[in-house]
Amino acid sequence: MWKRPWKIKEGFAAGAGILVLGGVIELFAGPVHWEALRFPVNLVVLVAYLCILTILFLLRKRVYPVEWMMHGGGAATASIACCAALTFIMGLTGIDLLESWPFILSYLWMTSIVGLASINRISHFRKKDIPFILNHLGLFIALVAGTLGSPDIRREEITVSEGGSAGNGITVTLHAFRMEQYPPELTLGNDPSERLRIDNGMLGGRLGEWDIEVLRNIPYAGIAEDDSTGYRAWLHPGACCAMEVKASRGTESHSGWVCCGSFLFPPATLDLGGGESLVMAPREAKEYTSEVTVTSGGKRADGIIEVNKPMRLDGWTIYQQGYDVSMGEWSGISILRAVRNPWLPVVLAGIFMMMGGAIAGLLKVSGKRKEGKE
Amino acid sequence: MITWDCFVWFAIPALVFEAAGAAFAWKERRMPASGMTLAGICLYFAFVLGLWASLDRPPLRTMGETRLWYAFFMPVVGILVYSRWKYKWILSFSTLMSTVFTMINLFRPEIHSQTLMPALQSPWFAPHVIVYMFAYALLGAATLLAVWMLLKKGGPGAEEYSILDNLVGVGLCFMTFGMLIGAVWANEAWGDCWTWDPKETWAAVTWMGYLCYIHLRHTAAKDSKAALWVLILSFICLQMCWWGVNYLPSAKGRSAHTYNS
Repeated sequence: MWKRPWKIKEGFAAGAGILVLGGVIELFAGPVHWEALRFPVNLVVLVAYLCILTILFLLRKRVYPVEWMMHGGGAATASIACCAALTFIMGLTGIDLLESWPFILSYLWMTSIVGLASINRISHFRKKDIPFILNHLGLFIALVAGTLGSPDIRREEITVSEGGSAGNGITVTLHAFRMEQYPPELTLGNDPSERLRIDNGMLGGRLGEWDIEVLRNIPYAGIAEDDSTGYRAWLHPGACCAMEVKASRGTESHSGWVCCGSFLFPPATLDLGGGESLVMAPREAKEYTSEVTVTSGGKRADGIIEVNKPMRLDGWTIYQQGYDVSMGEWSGISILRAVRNPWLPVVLAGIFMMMGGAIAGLLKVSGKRKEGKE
Repeated sequence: MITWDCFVWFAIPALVFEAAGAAFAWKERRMPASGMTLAGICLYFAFVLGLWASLDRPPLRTMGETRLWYAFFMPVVGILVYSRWKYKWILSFSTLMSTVFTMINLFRPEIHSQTLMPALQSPWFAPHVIVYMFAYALLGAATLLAVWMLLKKGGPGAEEYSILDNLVGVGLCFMTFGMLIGAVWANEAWGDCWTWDPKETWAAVTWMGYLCYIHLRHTAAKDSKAALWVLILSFICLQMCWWGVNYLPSAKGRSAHTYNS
C-alpha cells in the first residue's frame, strides 16, 4: 500500500482516516454547530474553501494526493463509498448524522474531489468534456451552496385564523380559508379496496356484489331533530354529507343512511348483515386555499396561496402547508409556511447544471451507439 | 371503464405475448421476437391509459400503480436492449421481471380511489415518477445481467461489461433527472430542495451506489467482479428506496413521501 500510483485501497485507507479524524473532533469539540456558519461566516468559508482548492490544484504536480484525487480513480470511488455507507447507516437506523463530524468530513472529502476534478477539466477544456463538467460542477455548486447556505434559511410556521393576522418577519392576514372536496366515496367496511364514487346527480352503482341505489343525497346535512334516524339539509359549520341508500344483493336488501361524519356528528354506516357494512369514506380534500394579504419589509401583496402554488414577496415564499384536519372543510385556521433562502438561486443553478449534464450524458451514449453501428 | 378488476384480462395476454417473444428470441427469430414483445407492451400500455382515464388522475400514486409502470417498462427496456445487442436471453429476463411485478399486483388488490391529494397535484408529479420507474427498469435489467455474469461458466466477458456500462449509464442519467425533478418540486411544494427524509436518504444511497459502480469501472481492473457486486447491492438499496422505507421501523411516520391512506 501507498506505492504510487495510489488506487482504491489507498482511497479506503484515507476514508478510514477521515472517519477517525471526525470521531476525534466530535469527541473533543462535540457535534457540528451549523448556526456558527451564518452569514457572513459562510461567505468567508466559501471564499477560503475555493481558494484552498485552487491552490491545491496549482500545486498538484508537487502534492501527489491532489493529482491522485483528480483523476477519477480510487479516491473518487472510495469517497463515494464512504459517504454512501454513512448515509446507509443513517437510513437504516434513523440516527441523524447531519451534525456528526465523520459524516460531514466524508462529504467534504467527496465534494473536494468533485471540485478538483471540475477545475481540472475546465483548465484544459474540450467540447467533449461538457457533460462531465455539467455533472461535476453542478453537483459541487449544489452541495456547497446547499450546505453553507442552510444556516441562513429562515422557516416560519404560521398558523392564522380567518380574519386574523400572524407571522414573524413576515405578516399574513387570512381573509378566507376555502376547501373543495372530492365527491363522497362509498366502500364496504371489511374491504376498503373497492370504492364507489357518487358524483353529483349519480343515482347509484355497483360495489362488490351489491347494487347501490342512492335515494337521497344531501351534501350538507345535520341529524334530523325529530325521532327519525335520518338527516336533513343543514348548511352550518359541522355539516357533513349524508345519503339515504338502498343496497341489494339478489333477494337481500337493506336501506338506511350513511354519513362520513364531522367534528360535530359521528359517521353513520349501514349494516348489511354477515359482518358487512356500507360506509361513506372520510372525505378527501381536492384543493384548499388561503386568501391572504402578506406584508414584509414595507411591501404588501394580496393573493391566494394553494398547495404547490406558493406566493412570493420580499425574498419570502409562503406555502400552503395544512389546516385543522379535525374540522376538515370547516377549518377556521390555515397553516402556512414562510421560507426565506438567500442561497436558493445558487443551489438551483447547480441542480439545473446537473439536469443538463444528465441530458448531455444521454445524448453522448446515443451518439456512441451510432458510432458503434458504423 | 377500465378498473383493476379488468387488469387480469390485459396482463395475462400481455405476459403470454412477452413470453412468446422471449421464446422466439431463444430460437434467434428476431422479427417474431420483437413483434410478440411489442404486442405485449401495447396491451399493457392500453391498460395503463385506460386506468388513467377512468381514475381521472395519473396512476402513479399507490405502490400497485408504480409496480404497473415497472412491469410495463421492463419489456420496453428488454426490447431496446434486444434490438441493439441481440442477446437472446434479455427478453426472458425482462418477461420474468414483468411477470413478478404483475403477479404481485394480481394477488394484492389495490385501492381504486380516484382521489389525488393536493400535494401530488403538480405538473412535476408524473415526470418525477415515470422517469424514476424507467430508470428502475433499466437498472433492474442491469442487475439481472450482473447476476448472470457472476453465475455463468467462463466468467463475464468484455462485451457484457460494455452493455452493463451502457445500461447503468443510461439508467443513472434517468435516475439523476428523476431525483432532481423531485428536488425542484419539493422546493415548490414546501420550500426545501432536500430534507433528508427516509425516502430521500435512501434515494441518495441508491444514487451513490450507482455512482460507485461508474467510478469503480474507471479504476479497477476491467474484468473486476467487485463492480457486479456493487450493482447488486445498489439494486437492494433501490428496492429499499422504492418500497422498503414503508416497512422500515426507523422510518415510520417520518417520511414526507407517504401518500397512501
